[in-house]
Amino acid sequence: MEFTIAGVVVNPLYLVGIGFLVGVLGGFFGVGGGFLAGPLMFLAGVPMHFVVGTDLAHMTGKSIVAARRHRMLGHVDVRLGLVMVAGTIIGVETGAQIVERLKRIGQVDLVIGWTYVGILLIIGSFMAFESLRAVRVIRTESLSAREVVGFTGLSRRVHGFRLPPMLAFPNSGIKSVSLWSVLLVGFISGLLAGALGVGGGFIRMPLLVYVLGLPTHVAIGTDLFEIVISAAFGTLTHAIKGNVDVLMALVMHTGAALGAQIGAVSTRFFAGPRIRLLFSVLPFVGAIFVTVRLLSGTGIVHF
Amino acid sequence: MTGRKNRPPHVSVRILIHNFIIELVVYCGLLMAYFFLVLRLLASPLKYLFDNHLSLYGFAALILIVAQGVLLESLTSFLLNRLGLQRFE
Repeated sequence: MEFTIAGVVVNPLYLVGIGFLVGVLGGFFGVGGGFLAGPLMFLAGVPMHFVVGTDLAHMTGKSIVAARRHRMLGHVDVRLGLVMVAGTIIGVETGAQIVERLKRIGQVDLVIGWTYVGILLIIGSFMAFESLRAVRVIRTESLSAREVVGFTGLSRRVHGFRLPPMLAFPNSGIKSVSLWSVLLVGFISGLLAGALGVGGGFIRMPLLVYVLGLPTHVAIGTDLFEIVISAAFGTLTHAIKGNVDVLMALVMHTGAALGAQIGAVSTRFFAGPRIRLLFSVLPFVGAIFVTVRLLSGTGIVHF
Repeated sequence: MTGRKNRPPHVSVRILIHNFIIELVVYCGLLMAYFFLVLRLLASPLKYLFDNHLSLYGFAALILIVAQGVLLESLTSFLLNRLGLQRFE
């Protein structure tokens, strides 16, 4: 089927399949899965600026429902989310402007492509490291709680940074933190969302837990709240810049809606760090896809 | 939870797979209808907006994806509830 807005021919079932895969990942791990959807779209010949914008659009539809669920469960610190939004929006717009500049000089595929590869390698390594550590904890049962929690000293140092205005977020158990720390967390994840078309959850989640010191369940809910904002704003700004094929996003989302439900149900049967370790291979596969396409000129695979 | 204890696990998994296949078939049918109806109807007007009114296209894109998000979630939840898959959550 020809998607006339992006000007590419892609089998819609392939897009449904991508959506389904990232939906399952989202339901299973609580990640958006944009890091995998992007490379798969790029491999099918979708230009990188459309990959970025369209990926964000499909993520908007997916995350809005999940965020609503977490809000009902009381897992969203709305106050923190709203403060962070300012940093997130500036980050998304900066990312979108970077894509525009690169598009103008004809380097968007190359620069964003290689950045994607770098980020995917980092995500894969982090997932593998985290799963291996969890496997070790189960096997030896010898690590102290402090070692399992890991980076507690980092959040203490961030809370010790006293540049005013200082804010309190009682719902997250934060007594006092600098506004600038919160904005910086929003800006970094927003920048990744705007430039790469990913939700940024894989970076925001660790930042919320390890840097700001949020409890994990509040971090997940607040992260989803931020994904909705960054993906929605990213969709709008990228669409206005002509980087979104909404039909492609709608088709992908049909698979994602089902995949998310299956992913959530399947955690009952396939939970555990060993499975997470297995899934840590996926970002590496994504990195290979992007590298193949970048190294082989067009390297488009027709599905 | 009490019901699950009384039932052998392999039977639960068999029911789950059976219901999942039914859901997949129903969902595939709906998907086909979606491709033929919605995409064909939307393709031309959206392309027109993209070529001529990019700002309007941006807002239309956002509204469409949010509306589909809410609609499809209701549909998949309905299917899962009807087929009893939610009991395994």
